[in-house]
Amino acid sequence: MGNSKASSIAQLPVAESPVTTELGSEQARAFHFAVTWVGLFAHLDPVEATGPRQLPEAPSASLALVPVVVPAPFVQQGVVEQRAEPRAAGQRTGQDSNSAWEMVVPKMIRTGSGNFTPPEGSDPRLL
Amino acid sequence: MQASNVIEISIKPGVQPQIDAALALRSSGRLEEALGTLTNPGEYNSYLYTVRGEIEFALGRFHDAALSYFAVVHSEPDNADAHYNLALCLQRSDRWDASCQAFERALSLDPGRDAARLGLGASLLYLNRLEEALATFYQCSRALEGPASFGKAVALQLLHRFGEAESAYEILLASEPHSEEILSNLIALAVETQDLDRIRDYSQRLLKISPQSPVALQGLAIVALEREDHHAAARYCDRLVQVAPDCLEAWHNLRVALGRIVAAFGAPKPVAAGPAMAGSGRK
Repeated sequence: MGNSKASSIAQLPVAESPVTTELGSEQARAFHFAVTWVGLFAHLDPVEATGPRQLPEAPSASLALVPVVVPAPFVQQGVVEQRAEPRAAGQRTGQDSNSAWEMVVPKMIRTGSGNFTPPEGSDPRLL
Repeated sequence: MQASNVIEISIKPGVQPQIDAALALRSSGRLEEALGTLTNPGEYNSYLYTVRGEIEFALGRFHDAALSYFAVVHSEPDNADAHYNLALCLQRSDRWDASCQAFERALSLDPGRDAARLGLGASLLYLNRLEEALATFYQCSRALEGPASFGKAVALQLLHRFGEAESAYEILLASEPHSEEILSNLIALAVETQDLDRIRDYSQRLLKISPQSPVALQGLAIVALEREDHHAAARYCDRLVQVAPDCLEAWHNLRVALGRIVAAFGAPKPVAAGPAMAGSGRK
């Protein structure tokens, strides 16, 4: 596909002919020679769509089953250390272990101001 | 399941019927009617605007087509085809700077799109960004070697690197001996370098291909005027005013050449006139 518009525009660079010869009482006038590049437009045709564009599938952002690391419940460090004492180096843990743990949730008492405060002496204890 | 329990789902037709109708009309060459079916779409659909842009482009409504493709690239910024088509529309709407940006966007999405590189080079030539244009043409792959070489030759000519430009044109001319544009540019180049022999040679070649070529007639007229062959100058200028009546220089130079011919008749005869001339009409 040619570009007729471009051919009419491509007049910017103009070569003036070297005519300066005086002919009779008048001088000949220089012709204007334009450099054109209309031929380039023959290679520039629009791309026709063959149908609705298939968008690349975006990875699903939901319902992913991934391992989640849940922070361990707060346990006083001292309790853990105390319980860990009998465990010798190289001793197996798991089913051979006879230890049992109980989490003691401190009771909360509603105060007059509406806040919850733990009762006194309700430290976590090991059974 | 009882019939009363069946739930009928009403599917809204959307714009697909409009698109289908437009495509059918376009395939039968009824572009105006095809375009008519795509006006006032009920909803935005990028494919509808793409088809609309294509039809507008085919109808030569480049500004309208640009607006259609603008809508597409707005909704699909990663659509390299739409950016490329938008660039072509902008180019044909004389929006050279904007077309460069669209071509560059298309190339950033699809670096292998040589046509975009070629279009970018063409726009850069119009913007007189000649070094950039030359570099762009050099980046084209062999798939578009011919047009890229032509672009390089043009850039070199505009950069006044005439020797390199002429070599590039000559190589192209060997494979495309009937290219009027290459010959026209070579005539302009020879005019620039004031090489009368080359002006004559290229003009005669062009005139054989295209007997009505104004560029060829201008070239031959120049050579005749420079060499004071007034009859030839008058002859070429006379043909020129017939094929290009708006060429004021041709009218002027025709008058000058004719005046010179007439003046030659009134000029004193050469002293060394032969015996046949000696007593002719002079008493």
